Order: sequence, then C-alpha cells, then structure tokens
Amino acid sequence: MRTGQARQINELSREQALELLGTVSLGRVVFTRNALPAIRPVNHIVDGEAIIIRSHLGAAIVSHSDGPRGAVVAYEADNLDPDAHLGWSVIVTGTAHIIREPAAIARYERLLRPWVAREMDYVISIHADMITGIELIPET
Amino acid sequence: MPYHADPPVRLHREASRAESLRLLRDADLGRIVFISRAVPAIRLVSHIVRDDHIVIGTGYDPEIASVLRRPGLTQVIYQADLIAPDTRLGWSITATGRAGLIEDEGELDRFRPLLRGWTGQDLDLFVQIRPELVTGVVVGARS
Repeated sequence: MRTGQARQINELSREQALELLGTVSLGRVVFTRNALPAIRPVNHIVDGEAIIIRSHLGAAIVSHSDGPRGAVVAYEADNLDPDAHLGWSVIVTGTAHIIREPAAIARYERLLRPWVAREMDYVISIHADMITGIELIPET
Repeated sequence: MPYHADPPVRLHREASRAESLRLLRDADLGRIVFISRAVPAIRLVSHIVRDDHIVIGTGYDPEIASVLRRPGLTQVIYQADLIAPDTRLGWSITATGRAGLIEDEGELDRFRPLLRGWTGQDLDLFVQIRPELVTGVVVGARS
C-alpha cells in the first residue's frame, strides 16, 4: 500500500460476494493437476449460485477421475485499486463440472469473452459451496 | 465455431522470465496458491522480489502455516496480474516453485520492514518462494 489512507475492512455476506463477483468478468481458477496446484486467469459470469467459466483446460480442471460429483476448485476475483488497495476480494471454493448440454453451452458461450484469444473448448460450472470475501473501504 | 475474444485490436504475447520477474517487482500484491488437505487454496498476499526470490508476507493463516511448515519445501504457485477492468489490457505472470516459511530471526528482521499487509493487518508469516518456472502473458493494444 502506497497511501496512508485509513481503511475499514468488512466481511462480505454470501449474497454480497456473489453480487460483486457478477460485476467483474475476470478471475482466476485454481485447481489440482497431478497433485500440484495450478491457476489460470479466465473470464466468468455468475449464474445463480454458480460461476461459469470457459477454458481450453477443461479436461485438466475436471478429469474423469473426479467422477460425477466433479472436482474441488477455488475461484478468486477481486477489484482492488493497485495503489490504495481499496476494493474487494472474493474467494469461492466449490465443485466444478463440465457442462455438456448444447443449449446451455451455446447460451454461456455468447456471454463469456475470453481474456486471451485462443480456442476455448469447455464451459465449466463451479458450484459455490463456500464463499469468503472482504471489502476495504475508506474509513469514515 | 472458432471463438474470438474482444475485437482484434488486442494483441497478446508471452513474457520472458526476466520480463515477468520485472513486472512482478513493479507490483506489491499477488496470490499464493497451494494444496491443503487435497483441496486447492488461494490467498491474496503482499510480496517483494529479492535476489530472484519472491518473499510474501501475510497475517496469521493456519493453513499456510501448516502447509509450508512441513519438512521439505512445498510446491506452490505465485500469480500476480494488473489488468484494466474496462479495456482488459495488462499482464499476468505465474511463478511455480518451492516455498517454505522463513523462520530465521535475522531473515525475518530483514524482511519485516520491507513488506506491508495489503489489508493493513500485521504480518505474522513470511514465506520465501524460489521460482523455477516463470511465465507471463502481456495483453496490449495493437499499434
């Protein structure tokens, strides 16, 4: 932090956190790959209690060995001023599964804009099982 | 159907290790990613880059403490980015490496004045990451 401005920290409720997540389009999906951690910046939309992302790494994020319940992943998004560090950060832990229904895929593909232009081959839904978030606002 | 990102005024390129570490030096906030009890975890933390090592500071965090205090060095990822929310131009770097808690008092005295908690909290844990693989992506406007 480069400024001396006094800030106040508030914990966000689940509803507030999901609402803030829906106001940005970029986040980071965190997953396990060969027992090691992995992270990719992706874009997202929020649909109810689910975070929908596209990735060319779908098969790595959700592998067959995860079974029908899906893979446990984390998702992080924030909107923080890089200098004053005012803003918010939300971390979701949840289960991810690949969306297979063509109509749902088509609908989500229209809504999602990849950050880096490359072929995106999977639409993934992350059900938000646990959400933590904080906001940092100027102290009044 | 081939899918294209934003209109083709954007150009993305890979950043070298040296450029990625330089970008990281210019930032002071990033994310440490680790596996805790088979579940992937991510935390926002403050960082500095010293001698090509990344040093992060965080308030007391039982998961970080238990994962990184284990004997041997644990594989983690450190990620930082600076992306304009409106144009989505910017950069993202990812460093993979082994990490361990800094417990040597002399080292702690050296790093404590250099790092400040991003939420303003006191820093209790300091972690050193030795980056092995460092990759970066820069998204700029096409000139």
